[in-house]
Order: sequence, then C-alpha cells, then structure tokens
Amino acid sequence: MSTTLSEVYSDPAVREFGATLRRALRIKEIQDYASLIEMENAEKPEDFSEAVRRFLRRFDSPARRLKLRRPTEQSLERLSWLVDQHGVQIVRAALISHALVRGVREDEAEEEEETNDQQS
Amino acid sequence: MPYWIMKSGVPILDVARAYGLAALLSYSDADQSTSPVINDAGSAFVIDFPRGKPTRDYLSQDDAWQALFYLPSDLDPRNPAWSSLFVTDLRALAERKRKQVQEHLEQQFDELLGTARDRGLSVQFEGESLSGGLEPSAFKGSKSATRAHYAEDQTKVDTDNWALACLGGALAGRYVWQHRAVFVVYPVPEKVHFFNWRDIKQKTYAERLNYLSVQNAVAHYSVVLAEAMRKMAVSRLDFSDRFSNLAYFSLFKTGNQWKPSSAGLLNIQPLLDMALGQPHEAAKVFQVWDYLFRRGSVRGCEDLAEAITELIMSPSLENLERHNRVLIRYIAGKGVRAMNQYTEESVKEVMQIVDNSV
Repeated sequence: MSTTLSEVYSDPAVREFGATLRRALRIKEIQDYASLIEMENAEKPEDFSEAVRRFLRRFDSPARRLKLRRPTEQSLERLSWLVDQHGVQIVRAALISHALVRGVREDEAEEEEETNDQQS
Repeated sequence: MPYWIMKSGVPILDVARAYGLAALLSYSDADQSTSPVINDAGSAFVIDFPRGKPTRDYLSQDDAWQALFYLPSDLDPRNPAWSSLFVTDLRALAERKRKQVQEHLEQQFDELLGTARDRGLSVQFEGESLSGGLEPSAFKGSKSATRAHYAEDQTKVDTDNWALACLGGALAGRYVWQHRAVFVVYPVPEKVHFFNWRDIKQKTYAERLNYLSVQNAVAHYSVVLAEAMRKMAVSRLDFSDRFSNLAYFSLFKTGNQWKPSSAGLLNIQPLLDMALGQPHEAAKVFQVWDYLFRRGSVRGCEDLAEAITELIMSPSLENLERHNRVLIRYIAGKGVRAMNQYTEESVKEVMQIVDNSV
C-alpha cells in the first residue's frame, strides 16, 4: 500500500500553499485562473517551480492590499523539495485538492445566509 | 442448514441464482423470524438458513409470494422487474415465462431444495433459453468468436436454475431505463442477509438520474449503495453485510431488437472500506460525490459526471487530477455551495482510495 499522496497532502508546506491557492481562486478581487492553468500545464519540476513563483508574484500585491497571509520562504523551499522527491503530478494533485476544500469563512457565510432566509 | 449454488462461470447468472434461492427460502419460511444469509465461498454461493423451516405449503399460500408475480414492475422500481428482465421477449411470452417461474418453483420445491442441500445446484447448459435481460452472454453469438459462420445459439440452462435465476434477477437486478437503452446493475453479495438486502433495495433502487453511460449509472449506484450501508452500519450493532462488486451491463435497441453492449465489474470494496471504517468522513465524501452526479446529469455539466465516474471506476492519480481540474473550475466559476464541497478530512479519504489503488 502506498501512502505518498496522503503524506504529501498532509505536509505543512502543501497545506499552506493549497490554502493560498484556494484564496487566490475564490476571492473575487484576485481570481487568479492564469496560475492554475500554468500549474496544470507544467510537466517538468522546473516548469512547476516557475509556475509557483509566478503565482506568488501575482498574489503578492492583492495579499498586501487585503492583508492576507502569504506563504513563507521555507514553505517554498519545502515545496520544491517535495516536487523533486515525488514528482510534479503528486504535489500538484495534493495542492489543488487543498484548493477544493471549503474554507471556514464559507461555512459561516452560508450558515448566516440560511439564518437570514429563515428569519425573512 | 446450508444450501449450495455451485458457480457456473457465468457471473450474473450465478448471482441471480443465489438471490433467487435466498428469496425462495425466505418466502417459504413459516416463522419469518430469521433471514437466509448469502455467502460467497469462492466456487459456490452458500445460503445459510440454520433456523429456517421452509415448506411448500407455506409458500403456495403466502400472499407476499403470490404478489411477487403480479406486482406491476413499471410503477415502482422496487417491485420485481419482470418486464425489464424479459425485455427481449414479446409481452405474451414474458407473461407465460413469469407464470412458469412461479409454477415450477412451487411444484419442484422439495426436489430443488433437496439438491441444493445435498450436493449443490449445478447448471446444466440445456433446457430453457436464458433471457438477454438477465445475462448479456445469453445472446446469440456473443460468447466467442464465430468468424464467418454465425451459428451460435442462445444460452440454455436447466429449468430449476432458470427459474431461480429469473426470480433472483427480477428481485435483485436494478434496471435503469434511458433513451433506447437499459442499464442493468447487480450487487454481488459477499455476505448479505436477505432481510437486510430488502431494506437496502428499498432505500437505494428508486435513486436514479439521467446517465451518460452504464459506467456513469453504476458509479452513481455504488455511491448510493455505500451510503445506505454506512447508515445501516451506524444504526445497527450487528450489521456485518458486505458486497464485493457491482456487476453491470447495458442493452441498447437496434430497430426492434435489443442487443448487449458494454459490461463489467466495479470493485466496491474501497468505498465500503471507507463507509464502514471512517463513517463520518465517508458521509461527507458521498454527499459531495452524489452532488457531482446530480449536477453532472444536467445538460451542460456533463464534464462533472464524467470526471467523478472515471475517478470511482478507476481511482488513479490521473483521474484524481481530472476530477480536481473540473471541480475547481465549478467552485471558482459557476459556484458550488459550501455544503457540497469537501472538508480537509474528507478529501484525505479520497486520496487514501487513490493511494491504495496505485
């Protein structure tokens, strides 16, 4: 039995980058589809690292404006190491899986919406 | 006392015979307090019925048994699917076959159970023509290469096994009618109590959507079945039933004739392992998957249905990536309510399935 994908998914660096990608895709002011496509199209580790760097550059400015947390330098190094160890496909699958997960804010917003519906 | 159904090598026929014998034992039991248990023992299905007292007298007077042959199957998908089972026959012939099944099982009751108990029921490939709605390999010319000489006849089986298979097929076969096609799914029992099976059927057989293919239909049914089993396992202390696979095939209409199309087995073990091992996370995964099937059955969203079908049929890294790629676009673009999205723990369970299959 292999546990590579689950292990990579649980890695703190992947978790941090995954959460950042989730915000970058879901916050209306950012909605960075370009980075998603670049990551999906990357085949070699160098291409993937380049896509991640571009993603960080695009994310940097809105993150400062909206006061969002940005991934640390150590997480970036760890992510590159994981790509070298396990390959692009596994790290990318784990990363995008984090972006699929719903955020805590979404839960709260939906609950609030439902409460308002019931009250009205 | 165990009853034996010796496997013939024709998978769906064997499964239908096992369900048929379990139903016959259950409906003929005067007590009605214990359930026959179907066990897969490799070369045979063994039906355990230790405290049962099946008798012919009780069977022939039992209203529920009589009703099995007269309930209109097209009104409710949970009723025996006689008209779908005999889809390749003319209506009058189908009616005659239905009566023949009932009469034969009542008349040959003692001999049939005696054989099943003493040496096991083995199929003799001569006698009654097997219906194409029961087993796809029953069709002419579909068993082996016939080259230029197209002379292979329909599959025939002895009347005892034919009647049992028809009864089991009508009860256990899940027939989903689509435009000029029928998708058929049979859950293959590993260890199943017949009473539990009736509950499971009650809960799952009415769930159906517009499907893109038989694979799409069987993948959705695997989720519905696993969720029903998860709920039963959570609410009952002694629930230990398992299915091993889902056997499926499709029939499509060419002019006036029905022909078999793709067929296969879907291994349902990974889903059941998750449902019974991690019930809380599994509930969330099944909720998301069911949503993907439902939304994917709407025109314009077929990519969702295709992606989730491929992931369930073959949980590989490539199919996980495809599922991720499609779903993330719906979440970011068209929108998906938070209740229909994965949680951290549930997505990890999906990865576990992919990891275990690599």
